[in-house]
Amino acid sequence: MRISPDAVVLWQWGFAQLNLTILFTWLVMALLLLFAFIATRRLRSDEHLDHWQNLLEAIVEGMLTQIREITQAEPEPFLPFLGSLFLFIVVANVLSVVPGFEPPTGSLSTTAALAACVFVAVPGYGIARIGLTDYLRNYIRPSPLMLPFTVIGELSRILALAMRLFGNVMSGTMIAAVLLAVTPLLFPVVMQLLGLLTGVVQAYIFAVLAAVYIGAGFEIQDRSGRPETTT
Amino acid sequence: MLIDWFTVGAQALNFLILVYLLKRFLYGPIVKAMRERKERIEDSLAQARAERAAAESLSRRLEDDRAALDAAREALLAEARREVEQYRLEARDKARGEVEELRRAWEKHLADEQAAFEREFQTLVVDAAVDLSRRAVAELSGERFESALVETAVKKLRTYSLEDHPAAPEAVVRTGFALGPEQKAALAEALAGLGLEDEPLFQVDPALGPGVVVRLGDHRLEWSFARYFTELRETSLNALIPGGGGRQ
Repeated sequence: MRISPDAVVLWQWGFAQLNLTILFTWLVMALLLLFAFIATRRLRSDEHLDHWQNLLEAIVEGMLTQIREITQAEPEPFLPFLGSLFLFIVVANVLSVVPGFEPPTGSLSTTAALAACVFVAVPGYGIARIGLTDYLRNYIRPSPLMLPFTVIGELSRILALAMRLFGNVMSGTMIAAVLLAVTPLLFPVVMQLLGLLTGVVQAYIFAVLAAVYIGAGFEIQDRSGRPETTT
Repeated sequence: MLIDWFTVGAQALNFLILVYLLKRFLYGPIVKAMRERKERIEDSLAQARAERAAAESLSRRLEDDRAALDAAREALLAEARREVEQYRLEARDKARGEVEELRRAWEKHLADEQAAFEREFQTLVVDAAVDLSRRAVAELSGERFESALVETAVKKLRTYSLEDHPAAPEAVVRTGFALGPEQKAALAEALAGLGLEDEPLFQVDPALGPGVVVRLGDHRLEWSFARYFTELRETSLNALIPGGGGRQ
């Protein structure tokens, strides 16, 4: 049994290779870009917007509200990153119901890459907001003895982030495959639907946790005694 | 192995590209449209607030102007009422003054008319009385009266003096009746007593009526009923009409 789509290598040239994970990632990206082109084709900035644009703006406004509530900061700078995380993961997970499609999020390489992006984004946003010196100083507060624990905490939560998504998606796919082999058709369909729900929830969890980590970087700074810079 | 590091890097790159593309083609346009609409609505609200503030300011200014106009109107009305009242009082006083003046003029005129009437009436009464007396005397008089007049003239001439006359004047005796020789002689003798050298000239003037008039230069001495009645008339009128009523 194949656990990760990374194992299916379609083309390889030295160290570089094209596997199913990358291929389906491109597919998901293509679908998202197609959706973006269609969705933003007839955007209007006046008060006479159609139902489709109204729905889009309601979704975006909902995302902005969620990010604002979590990070306690102006949400627009985080929207492309967190929104893309959510959309990519949710589309990849939803497409898992399509026969033959293997979600890229079922690859530990993908989830690790996403977690790595979060790992870089958290200090990136923090440094952009409060500066490198102040951000690094937070690692040794309240005592330099806290430095290893803080670093371990940063790494562990990123690892947890990657493993959680990978485990849920991979396990869902595996369970469906196993059940499909040993049980009647109806039960795997139910499990697929459940996996669909799980995939959406996991996308939401991943994006929310990323937002929480970004917001937590600001909260650390707030506890250091500086005024809040979340606006 | 569960992790392929090339795939990790490729997926990270793919994700970053996806982030950029979605930001460029999805979130950016949507957020831009929302921001523009929000700014437009905020501009509209700000404009509405500004217009409302301007309208309120204009309303307050109009209220102030209206209050000022009301105050000015009240002041003008009060001034007009005061002027009208003043004009009314002045007109009333003026009318009263004119009426009073007219009344006084009328009363004066009435009094003048009354006085004139009284004077005229008294004059008429006196004139009638004098005329009646004159006629009575004229009808009743005779030689005796004429003789009495001559005797009176002689008597007065004897007490008369011409000391203030520079030279002896010519004497002219005019009578309303013809004098007898004795009467002429008595008069001549009396005139001679005044120092006259020439004989007096005797003239008869019936228009004189009962009376004797002696002219001595610029002196005139008269003893006649006409003079007596003239003096009677003047005395009566002066007594009845104080202030010269008898000078007619």
